[in-house]
Amino acid sequence: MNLTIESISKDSYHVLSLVGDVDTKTAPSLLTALTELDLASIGDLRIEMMSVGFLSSAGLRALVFAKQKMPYESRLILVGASDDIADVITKTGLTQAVLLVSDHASIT
Amino acid sequence: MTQVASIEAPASMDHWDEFVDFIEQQAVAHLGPGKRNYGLRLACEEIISNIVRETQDEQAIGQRVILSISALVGVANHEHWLQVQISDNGPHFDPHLEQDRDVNVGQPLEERRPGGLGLFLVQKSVDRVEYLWAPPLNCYTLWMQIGDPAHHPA
Repeated sequence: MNLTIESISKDSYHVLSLVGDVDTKTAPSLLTALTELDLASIGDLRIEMMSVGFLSSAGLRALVFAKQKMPYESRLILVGASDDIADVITKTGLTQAVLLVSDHASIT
Repeated sequence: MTQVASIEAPASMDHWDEFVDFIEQQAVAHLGPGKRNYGLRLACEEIISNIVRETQDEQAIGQRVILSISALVGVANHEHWLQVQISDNGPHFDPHLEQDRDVNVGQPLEERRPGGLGLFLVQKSVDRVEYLWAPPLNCYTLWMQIGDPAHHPA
């Protein structure tokens, strides 16, 4: 399955809205979208996952890359990730780097 | 174990969708939807991507590396199992799956050693995984119990 990415800039945060699967084939396009952002000075980065059916280690590495480039106080937030994806993130200990929320309203 | 389906194709990203679609079909057919389906897909994706990556040099100089995937079902220790066998005729590459992968789960990102995430996920996502070098083939076998996942084969 392919991956489409929409990039939306808000006042204090940025949104990447993903549709599709993030695997070895499609993760490079996510990485490209992330590198096109000014990660070093970004506020929060919210990644909408409601329409993502699969995330592999390639996708995780792209997320880790982004978080490592962001200011320490900025948050990388996955919005609406499925239980399966949330489980992968938890299993790999990446909840230290990535905040999992069910929807935008949950973000304080 | 009885083979129910198989594919083979050159180990390249040109055939990625064929490999992934095959795995997804077998996962849905034998495991149904849900977490165990996802786990099998995740483990297979990691192994296939490793094979494609590790054989790039050989393919660049014209060596034809073929990746084969077979799905087998059957009974072991009175339980029903799906077995996925992934093999390639690339250079001998032992991922040392018998070793527990430590990706420093509890440590902050900046303190963690790089690498190992993919194979860590392979180990954690299926009931059992084995690697065998059977010249000229690298052979990976993944086991997923069909039905109650409480038991493992001997």
